[in-house]
Amino acid sequence: MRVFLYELRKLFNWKVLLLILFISFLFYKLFLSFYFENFPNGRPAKDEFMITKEMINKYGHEMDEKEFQHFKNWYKQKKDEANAYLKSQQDAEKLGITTYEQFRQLDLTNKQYADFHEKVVFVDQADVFWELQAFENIIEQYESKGRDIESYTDEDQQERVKQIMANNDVNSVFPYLVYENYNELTRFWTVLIIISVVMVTCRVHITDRLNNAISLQYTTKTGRNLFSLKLLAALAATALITTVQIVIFWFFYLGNGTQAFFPLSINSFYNFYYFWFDFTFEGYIITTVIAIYIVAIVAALFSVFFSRIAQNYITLIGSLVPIVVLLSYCTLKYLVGELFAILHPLMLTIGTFLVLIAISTIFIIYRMKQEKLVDLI
Amino acid sequence: MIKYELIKVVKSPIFIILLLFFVALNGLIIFDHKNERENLPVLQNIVEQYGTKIDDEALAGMKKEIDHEMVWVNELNPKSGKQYQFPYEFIKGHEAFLYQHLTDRELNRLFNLNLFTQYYETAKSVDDIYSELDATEFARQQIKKYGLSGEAEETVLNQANLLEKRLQQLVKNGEHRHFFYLGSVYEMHSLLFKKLGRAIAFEGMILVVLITALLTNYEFEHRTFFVAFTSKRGRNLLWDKLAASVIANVCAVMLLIAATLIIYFSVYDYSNLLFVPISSYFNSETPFPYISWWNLSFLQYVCLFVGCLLLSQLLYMLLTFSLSIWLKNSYLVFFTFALFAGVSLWLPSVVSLNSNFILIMHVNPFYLIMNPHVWFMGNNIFTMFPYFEAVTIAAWAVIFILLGFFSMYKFKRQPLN
Repeated sequence: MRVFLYELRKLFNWKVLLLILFISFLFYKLFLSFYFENFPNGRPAKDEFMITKEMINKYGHEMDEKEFQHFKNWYKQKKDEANAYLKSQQDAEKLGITTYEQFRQLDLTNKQYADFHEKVVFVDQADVFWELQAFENIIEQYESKGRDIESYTDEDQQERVKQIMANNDVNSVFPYLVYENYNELTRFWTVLIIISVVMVTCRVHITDRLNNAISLQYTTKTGRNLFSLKLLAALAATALITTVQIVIFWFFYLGNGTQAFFPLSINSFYNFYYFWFDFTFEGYIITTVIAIYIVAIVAALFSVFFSRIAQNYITLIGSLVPIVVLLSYCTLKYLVGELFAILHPLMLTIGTFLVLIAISTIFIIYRMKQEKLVDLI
Repeated sequence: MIKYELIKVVKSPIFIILLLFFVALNGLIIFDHKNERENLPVLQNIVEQYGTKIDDEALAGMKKEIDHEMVWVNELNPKSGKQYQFPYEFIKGHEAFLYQHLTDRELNRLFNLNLFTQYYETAKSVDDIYSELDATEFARQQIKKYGLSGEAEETVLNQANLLEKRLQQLVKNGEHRHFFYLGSVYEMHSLLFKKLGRAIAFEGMILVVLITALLTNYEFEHRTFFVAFTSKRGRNLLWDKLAASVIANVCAVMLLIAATLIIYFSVYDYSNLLFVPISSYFNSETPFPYISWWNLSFLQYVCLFVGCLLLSQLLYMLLTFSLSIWLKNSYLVFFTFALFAGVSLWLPSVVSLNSNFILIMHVNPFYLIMNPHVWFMGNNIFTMFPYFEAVTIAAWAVIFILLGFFSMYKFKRQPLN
């Protein structure tokens, strides 16, 4: 236990922590802050966000046919508001625009109309026109739910879409923009976690080698079991770093105000695509967090392995570069980003996880056995 | 001495592994979406027959060919009873018919003809498009997009005037009137210079930092510094290490670039297009076409591109050299270097947008490699200076060389342990 704690303390060298802090800050500024500062991103995204929130208050988690009729009425009321607004505008009268329908079908290649359109929508920022756009998007998505089944070529995918259609979950009012925001943030944050974990754990053996401490250590009572102790220390450090990063992530993420959507099903008519499992947003978040821990541990195992093998820092960093690149690529594509989305075959995601876990564990176990036999000089 | 230093690099197999890994990555980028680019030979045929220059003769010849082929097209569906002039009209009226009644070969012929017509129509419209092009208007839009104001806005507009002059000269030279792969469809310029250019720059950066750090820190990491730095050559050994770094880095980066370009040009055929001006309208991917500051052919542009990539890598080498002298630990050097890169990319986004300072902040060696596809061009308002690349490289070369001398000066007066 004492040796374990010493090893752990050695890993958290203050210079390394400082570097990670700065790198995290820059990573945040370059890749992540955008999704916090610009959520929801522009209009009508902002209006869609507000309207879906109100829909939850009015209809609960799902919107059935009856509630959809109510929703359409609500849309009509908004249209009346828009008509009233147009009537109050002198410009509109001059151009002969009296109803929203006319306004919507304006020929924007005509300079006069385009100017008026721009004035209303961008300069005056008349809310109701953006809201109407949002309403239209929702209505269109609701009416066309399940029609995108033809865009899936795979039989499994089509089967899954049919299954979802038969389920009430598809009527969930979960909007794509909440999913997209979470997805972008979490996948990039995972890359940051991979980098931080590798930065800390890759030093576990190499510092001793460079200090010529190995021959000393391996003749002590702990001896060759030191490898296991160091492995445990590295895994503990991984768990710690990952947890801290996730906590910081949530500190920022709660500011986006998406809590109302947590209990909703994400297999909704209003999401980009469907998922292989019946997730609520909460459930999905927990699943991604598990995936993040798995990815982090895989990264740590590789990093510990190479830390023991490599003769110097250059070889170590050089061999970890391809691993970090490939792991980040898979993470961004389908291991954390778009996790279990119907776009990626289910077996690909599960298979990649299994292969990653298997290879990294085999590497470590192989080295553990070698440790008992290896020549020290 | 340099020879022995080089042996240290050659004896590290990791560099060869990394090099192979990077070339494989670039290969993936090259082959990505290749099936969307399978109709490229249509242009090869055009160029073989009519040359790369668009003139009345070529246009007339193309029109004749289209008319000739349209006879065949109009016979495809005798029931329709209409005579079409262009293949896209036929395709539009027969969407369901196409896949039900035509063989694959006929379809292929029809779509190739359609693409041929697209080249023809684009070629015909080039003059009109360029007579309406307005560099100042382009600059204004970009200024609005990025929110520049005040002094910075003025400077950019001045540069836009320069670009406008260059645009007129370009039109006079007829640089835009050349056939090239349709940029709006294939985006070959972005693939080669942006995607691959950026990839090579970052991959090269990793190689350069590792090679330079390996050599400069070698004695400290292998505990041989008491032997090495107390010899007659003494601390001047670092100059040999720097010389060896130059040789090793140039070799590594050139191998990476050469391997990537060889794969690229064997997958995509450019043999007839080497002397087409890079500012050709066909190369453009956005409404505002690429405008190089000088009349550069594709081949010249590639050479300049490679040169600029190589020189920027040497800048990174110089920075790594100084960092290594101070930190003496490759791990710290590698991540501190990453920190420098991050800060350089982040700082331009915090400077206020109303003074020239924002433009000066973009003159840094890391921002340089972010947009390799508009090197030597006036298409990015932050780099809208004819000699932007040269000035960036020269200025930072001076800074890093001075930093190197200063580091050496300090290093020579340092206690070793």
